[in-house]
Amino acid sequence: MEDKELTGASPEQEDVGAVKIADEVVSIIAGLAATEVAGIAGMSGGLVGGIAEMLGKKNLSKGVKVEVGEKQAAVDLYVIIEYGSRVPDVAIRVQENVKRAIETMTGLEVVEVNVHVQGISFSEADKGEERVR
Amino acid sequence: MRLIDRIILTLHMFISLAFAVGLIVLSSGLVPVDKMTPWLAMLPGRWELVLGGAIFFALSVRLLFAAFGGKKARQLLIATSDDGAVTMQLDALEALLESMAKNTRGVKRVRVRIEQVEEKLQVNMRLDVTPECSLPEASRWLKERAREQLLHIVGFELGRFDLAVRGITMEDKQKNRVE
Repeated sequence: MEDKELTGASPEQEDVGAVKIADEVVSIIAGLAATEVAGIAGMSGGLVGGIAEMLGKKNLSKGVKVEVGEKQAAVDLYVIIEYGSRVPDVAIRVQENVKRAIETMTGLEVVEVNVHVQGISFSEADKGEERVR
Repeated sequence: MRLIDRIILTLHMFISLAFAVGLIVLSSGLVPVDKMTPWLAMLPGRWELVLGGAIFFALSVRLLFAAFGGKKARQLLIATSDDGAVTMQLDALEALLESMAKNTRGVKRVRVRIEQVEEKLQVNMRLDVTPECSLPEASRWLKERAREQLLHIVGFELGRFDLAVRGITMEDKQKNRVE
């Protein structure tokens, strides 16, 4: 896990110490903020995420890639949306929620939040048979 | 992660577990090697072991392919803004339209291919139908539903819609037996 040291402390606070935030922390914040948004069914983790889940490890940063610098962060989210949701609307809410969560909790400036929709999730009610008229 | 990859991964892990247990048992001396020798001598010429090994090899290659290689996923760029970009995998949209079509009475074995042409989406749908299906009505229905779904979900208009009926299947008739 790579830690990033924030160096934004003012001169008079330098003796207080440094704040270090692990990349995984930013990933988890982003993942939780994304899944809070209505219309998001879950995060898409790929093969590595699948292996981790099979071993019983709950992966809160599944489907999230972050690039964290000294003062900025960029996030890529791989999501699955619920059937019936409009992707542009859901994606905008995800971008806003993730950006707000990271900036509030870490103080990092979020320069971009890219949302990649990997699939659509159907509930049982959505799978009913339709008739041709 | 696709369902088939999860199943393959589970099988692969069980087989690997068995190999690991065997290796531990042999190397730790729990089972004397001389007791294993007659068993090992029986291995050459056993076609079922060759088959099992080939299957395990194929599973391993499939997992490697899924993890590190394969075709690059076709992406649809939906929107860009100062906050970032929004993309969607085209095969997710294709799966959506396939599911919609399969749930239509009289329509079976659907395959959909979507391509972006300028600012619109082009849909190519191949399917089988049952004998009672009215093709003109079904094609109108499927086209309208595809148009609605694409416009609602990703905000793209439907351009060209090509429908190819590959054949007639008797599946429904076989299921509905008269008692």
